[in-house]
Amino acid sequence: MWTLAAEGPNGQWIPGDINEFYWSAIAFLIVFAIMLWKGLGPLKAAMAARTERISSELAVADNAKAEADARRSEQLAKLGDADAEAATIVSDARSRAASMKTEMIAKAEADAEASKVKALADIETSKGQALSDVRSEVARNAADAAEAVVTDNLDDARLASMIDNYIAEVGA
Amino acid sequence: MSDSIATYADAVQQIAKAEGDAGVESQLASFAQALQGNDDLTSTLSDSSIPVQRRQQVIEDLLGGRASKTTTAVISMLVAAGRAKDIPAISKAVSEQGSVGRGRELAEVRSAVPLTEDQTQRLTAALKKSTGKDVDINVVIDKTVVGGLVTQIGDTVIDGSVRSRLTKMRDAFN
Repeated sequence: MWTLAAEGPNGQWIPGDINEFYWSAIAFLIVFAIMLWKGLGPLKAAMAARTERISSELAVADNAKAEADARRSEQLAKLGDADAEAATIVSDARSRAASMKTEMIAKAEADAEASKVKALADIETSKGQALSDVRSEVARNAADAAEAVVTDNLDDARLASMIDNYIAEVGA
Repeated sequence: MSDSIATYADAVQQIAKAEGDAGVESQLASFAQALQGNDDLTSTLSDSSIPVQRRQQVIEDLLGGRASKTTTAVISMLVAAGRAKDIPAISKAVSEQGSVGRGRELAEVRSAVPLTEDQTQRLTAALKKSTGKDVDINVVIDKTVVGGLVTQIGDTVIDGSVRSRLTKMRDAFN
């Protein structure tokens, strides 16, 4: 409708009857006025309602955001507490581990010392037993040798002599 | 002493008494002494795989002319009854019962070698002098004595053996 065009056949820049244009413009203005008269109020009300609704939604969103921020702060605080608690636990664990380490080292040292003492005692016992065994072996060998000498020299005459000596002693 | 040993000793005493053979006790003791010094003879007489008649024939061969018929029969009976290994114990029980019956004490004398008759008589006299009692001697051959004698009368032991001296020597070494 607003497109520029070359002059029409009527010699006007608007082709057709110029009156038709005027009437159309008047009708448009009348319709436009009626629309303004009847539609502007509801439109403003709708716009206001929309604005209010948007404001309300923004408020709700703000509240939600504030609540979320509060929760986030709370969670962060809790996280902070958890971190502190974790740090305490870790600290306690380290302290306990250090204590256990000290105890284990002390126990290991005590055990090692006890083992050492026992080993020394065992060595002494073994040494004494070995000496005793050697003494016993020597004594047994000496006794075996002495017995062999005695029995090898016991002929019939000596045996008879020993019996005679026994009889003499019993009868004395 | 087990009941069976005492029973067999009683039986031997009764047989000797019934036959009027006073030599059974001493002859049985001599055989027991010989048996103790001969493991092969003990094994042969105890071997149940050898027929009893064969073992009794061994007895007959060994004692023929050296012991009375009663003694030979008694020993044969003991061998047939499977008591060959118990003959030394039975002989000792017979000697103990005989000594008691005669009012004497039995002295068990352990020696590595048999005693001569002279030694036995002198030892009997010496033990009577030492204990004040009449004693009968039962000699047991025991090679572990090595030399000398060990006499046991009742609970009294007179140990003059080489073994005891060797034992003391070992104790002294230890």
